Amino acid sequence: MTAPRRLEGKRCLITGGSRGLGRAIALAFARHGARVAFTFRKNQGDADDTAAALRAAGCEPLVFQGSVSDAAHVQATVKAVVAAWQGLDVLVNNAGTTQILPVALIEEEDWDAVMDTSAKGAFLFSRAALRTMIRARSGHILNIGSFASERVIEAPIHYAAAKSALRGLTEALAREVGRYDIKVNLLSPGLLDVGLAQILPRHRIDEYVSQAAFGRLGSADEVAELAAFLVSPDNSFMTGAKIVADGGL
Amino acid sequence: MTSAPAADLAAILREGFDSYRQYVNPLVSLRAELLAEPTRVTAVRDGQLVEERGPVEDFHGTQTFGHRHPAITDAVQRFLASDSPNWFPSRVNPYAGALARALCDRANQTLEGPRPAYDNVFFANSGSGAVEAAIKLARAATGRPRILAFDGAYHGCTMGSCALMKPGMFRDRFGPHLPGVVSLPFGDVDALARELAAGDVAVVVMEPIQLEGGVRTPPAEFLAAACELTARHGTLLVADEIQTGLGRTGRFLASEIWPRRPDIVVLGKHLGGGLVPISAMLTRRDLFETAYGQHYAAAEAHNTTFGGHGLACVAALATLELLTDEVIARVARVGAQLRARLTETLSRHPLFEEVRGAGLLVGIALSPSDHPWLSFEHFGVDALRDQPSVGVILCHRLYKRGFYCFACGHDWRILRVLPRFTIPEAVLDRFATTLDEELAYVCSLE
Repeated sequence: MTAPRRLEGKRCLITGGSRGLGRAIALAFARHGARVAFTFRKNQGDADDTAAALRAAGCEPLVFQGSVSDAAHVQATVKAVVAAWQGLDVLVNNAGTTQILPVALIEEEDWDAVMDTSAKGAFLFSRAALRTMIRARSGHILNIGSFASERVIEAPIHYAAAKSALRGLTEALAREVGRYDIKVNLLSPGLLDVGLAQILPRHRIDEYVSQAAFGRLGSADEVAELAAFLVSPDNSFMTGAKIVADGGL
Repeated sequence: MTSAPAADLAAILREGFDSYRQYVNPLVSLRAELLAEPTRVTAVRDGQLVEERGPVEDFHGTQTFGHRHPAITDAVQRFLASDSPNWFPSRVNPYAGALARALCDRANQTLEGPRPAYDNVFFANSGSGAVEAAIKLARAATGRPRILAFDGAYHGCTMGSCALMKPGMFRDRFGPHLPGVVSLPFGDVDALARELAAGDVAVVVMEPIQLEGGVRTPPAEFLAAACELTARHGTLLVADEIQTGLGRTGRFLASEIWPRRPDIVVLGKHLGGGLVPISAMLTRRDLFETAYGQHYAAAEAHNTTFGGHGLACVAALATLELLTDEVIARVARVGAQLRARLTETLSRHPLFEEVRGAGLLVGIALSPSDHPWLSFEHFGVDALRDQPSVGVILCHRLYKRGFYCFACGHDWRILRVLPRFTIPEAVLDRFATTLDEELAYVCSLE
């Protein structure tokens, strides 16, 4: 029995798609038959690796380098994607950043950088994508949040604040564009085998595992599969929702 | 006995805006807040309004020489400091007499030379009041019932003037309206000829340029026909110059160039220098006598208690002093430059249609956006779902850049720009640049 291809022909753009969960989502979307574009900020090597993996999966990606908080980059990226594919069906606001710091050591510029990437970036990309999606009266926007804004746990406050901002953005935007049949949802993963777990001290990971119902970290691939469902036509009635996939923390 | 304390102006400027919302018109306050209009203006500097975001260039058109021009303010202050009466129980009012003479002298001179037409004036307190005076005079003088106006018209909000209004928000809920009023298609010579042929039309009321109707100038052939047909059928012709008069189009009166001088001209808006409300209806003495007789029985058949009171006339006389031929020539020159600059600058934008108008009465016509997210429906204002939003969105953007612009009342696709006559050319250049940037932004949302 073959696995369903939920995103056959869908035109998808993923921010922060060169590594970690973003890369997993890009590859999952390709497996589901999507056309994939992704952005990255710095690491050309990671971007090349992801692009190669996508090609190997039979998907010729569009790749864009820039900061999600740079309005000009955002506009140019969405414009190029729309020009190449005559539309855009799915936007995943995945780009994020953080530093593991206590409040006393978070500088103003650290705060701004985290907020700019997660919150402002999602706003800019959503606004740019909606111009096309609203005309088409169809689309999905999936914001990638974090368990850090859903649980009372030790988390860098700027990261938790930025991810919480995404929840508000998701709910309000879902309300505003629902009339055009555009779904906006928030997927908040727990600690995964990529991303934040790579920079956490060991005892914090152990603590997470010990408290989670499943007793393990999540994998990027299983969260990416969930993302593929959320932005697929199979999700026909869920919008403004917050989906937490954290292994039962 | 102690006198009451003088009004605390600082306290009023601090608290009165909220009182306005509570006690005057909450809907106007709501609109101003939603559109981020520069509402809380608390001072005037060099003719500009000042709010917390900085100076605001007011393009409404009521402040021809800028807000609180020193010469007009000084004339008003000198009058108040004098012991002259302000109001005359007999109504034989020297200030009204002086202003009427000055207005007729100016109106009878055109750019092409003397063209005598007016020697009788009625003063009121608003443009609507002057329009009422005109249609009453016309009915009384002709003994005929009917009044013709044109689609797109805006002549005021009193019951008589409102009856001449284009159907819509300003008119619909106030019916039944004055009987005998017919609205004709704009610029339709055949329709006008047909209606006038019945011989029962007292007056045709028209604007030399429809402002709220979208800055629309009637075609020259229509003006020629209107002048000829009204004369042939004994119908009076009224030029409502409340928006176009007093130099706004680069002439003292825009109707100076009509083939026949209208029987009645209505003035208002900035006649009082933006400080004191006053309006005027200019006509001929023979028409006045035909309407009201040569004896005093009907001397006050139409009147208004405070029309032409001393203070208002002093402000108007000071305004006329400022309104020199040189100033009006500048209006023509600077206005032409502005329209050319805007046309050249804005033509690259897909939503731009054209720039039109005369002098410093400028209309910027835009195409309505068809993008759903730029609709009033998307903004949650279902009552406006059929209105184009493009003009309002641009105004909203311009407010933040220090320009107080407005969309035309009957056509929200058209921005109406009526700068002060003394506006520095550098400010107009900055406006053109700013509008270009903001229209580019709005077009990018398309």
